[in-house]
Amino acid sequence: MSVLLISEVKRILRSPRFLIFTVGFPVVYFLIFSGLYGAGNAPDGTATMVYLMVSMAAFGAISASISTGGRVAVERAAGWNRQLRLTPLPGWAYLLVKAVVAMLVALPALVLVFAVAGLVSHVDLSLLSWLRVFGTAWLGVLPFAAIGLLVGMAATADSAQAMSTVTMLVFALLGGLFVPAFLLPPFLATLAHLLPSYWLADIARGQAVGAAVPAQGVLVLAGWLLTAGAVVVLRYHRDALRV
Amino acid sequence: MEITNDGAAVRITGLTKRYGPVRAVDGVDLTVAPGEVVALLGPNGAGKSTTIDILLGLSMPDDGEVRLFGRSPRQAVTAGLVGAMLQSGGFPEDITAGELVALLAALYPKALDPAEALRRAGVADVATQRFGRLSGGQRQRVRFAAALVCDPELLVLDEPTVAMDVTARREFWAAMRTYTAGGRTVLFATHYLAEAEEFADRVVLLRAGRVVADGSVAQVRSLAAGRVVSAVVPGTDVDTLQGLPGVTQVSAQGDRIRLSCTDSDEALRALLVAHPGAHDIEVTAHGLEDAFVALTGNAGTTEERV
Repeated sequence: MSVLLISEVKRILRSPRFLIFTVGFPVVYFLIFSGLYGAGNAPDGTATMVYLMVSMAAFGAISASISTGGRVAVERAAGWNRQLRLTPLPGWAYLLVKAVVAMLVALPALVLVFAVAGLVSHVDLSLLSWLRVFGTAWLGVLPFAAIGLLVGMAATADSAQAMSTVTMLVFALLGGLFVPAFLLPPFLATLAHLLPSYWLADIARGQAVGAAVPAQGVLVLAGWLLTAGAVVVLRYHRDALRV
Repeated sequence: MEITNDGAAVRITGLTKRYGPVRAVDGVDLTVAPGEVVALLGPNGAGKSTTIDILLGLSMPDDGEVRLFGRSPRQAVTAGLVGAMLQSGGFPEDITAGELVALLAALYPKALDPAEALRRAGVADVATQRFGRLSGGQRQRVRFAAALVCDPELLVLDEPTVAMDVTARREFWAAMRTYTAGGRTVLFATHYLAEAEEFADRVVLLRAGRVVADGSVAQVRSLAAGRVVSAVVPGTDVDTLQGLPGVTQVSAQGDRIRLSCTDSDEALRALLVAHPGAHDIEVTAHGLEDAFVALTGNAGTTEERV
């Protein structure tokens, strides 16, 4: 299984265009937004700079991990899973490797946005706070690894890219990553509180000021992870018996 | 599932698979002894690929059972007893042939050295090239290397030489011969009669999901023997031609007639004596389709054991 993982990582490093895009966009957005709105504090008391930093890092991480899952659609169409099913590798191992890869590709976006925020925009946090922000943001990507796989299982090779983009935008916009949830109309703000993208960013921001992790947030994240994960496993199983 | 080894490499009993109202596989029975090289021959849609998918555990039958070396398909695959080359098996285009074979090798409890597998498949020279940049023939042989790498007892190949040119095809079968010289079992699907004749010990003809003939190459060849004589013969009628020696069946389209013959030489001599004006004469071997028609009548439902 580790061999499959290594080969997956190699493949991604070999075509770095995808990573450059998923890292480049959030960094550029962060620089633009922080230049426009960077001063002062958000209504919840977080420094605006930290607010934007976490939002953009979350956006980058989410888009990278959803697109990675989405690419499963292309491999399904090519017949790569069928080929793997002719080896002793169990089906769950393939899905697990893909989920781990989706978690790994989220890292560059997180690290780079945080690095730019710290070095260029002078976001000043203690080392412990940095680690807590980073750690919670990264864990918050877990549901999106599963959601990405779901897109990969549902889409065709042709529609995978479009479906990944739409999924990512829906979670980013409705989860308050581009327009903060406190600026959204009440109906949409309520909806935001049901989305994993909202809680990923909310929990990570809280870590910058040492806030407790809200139970509701953990529940929403876990709910999405388990639901999406279960549907992926079911679809994979059905896929396996098809044909 | 328990392992009950009855000595057969492949034992298929009463296999049935339906897609809606269509019976893609309709009660296939097939037993392959270890060391046999068997061609599964049939036109497109005969049920070859469906049978192979079920045989490999990629698809579930509606009815019937498959045992490979006494085990379920999945057990046999997990034990590394089966190597397969699928028509639909795709590899990622962005990894090299060498990495690909090494990756698959690492998934098995025991496997050949990946370089050795590539060498046996005759593609050692493309190990450092990405799969996506290989020619059709090279890809097929990398697929072959991938099927070989677990050093399987049974090799299952679905239309292995599709997309190969003549040279690549010849090289592929040469590589196969080396492999089977070691007494391994091979089951391959093809719609090339010549490939089955040249390579298999035994030919199983499938039509409309059923086994319509099963026997040695010579036996099946005799079933499919005969040629078609086609010529433009002005001013004749079907009944007269029917009486020519060696002719079994006559059809006409305008002036052009088609004689299905058991002995085309005899028929042609007689034709030219009776109709010296016959011209534009062609003599062709029965195609596989003709063989099927000859074997199965029109409906293709009777079983013929040869």
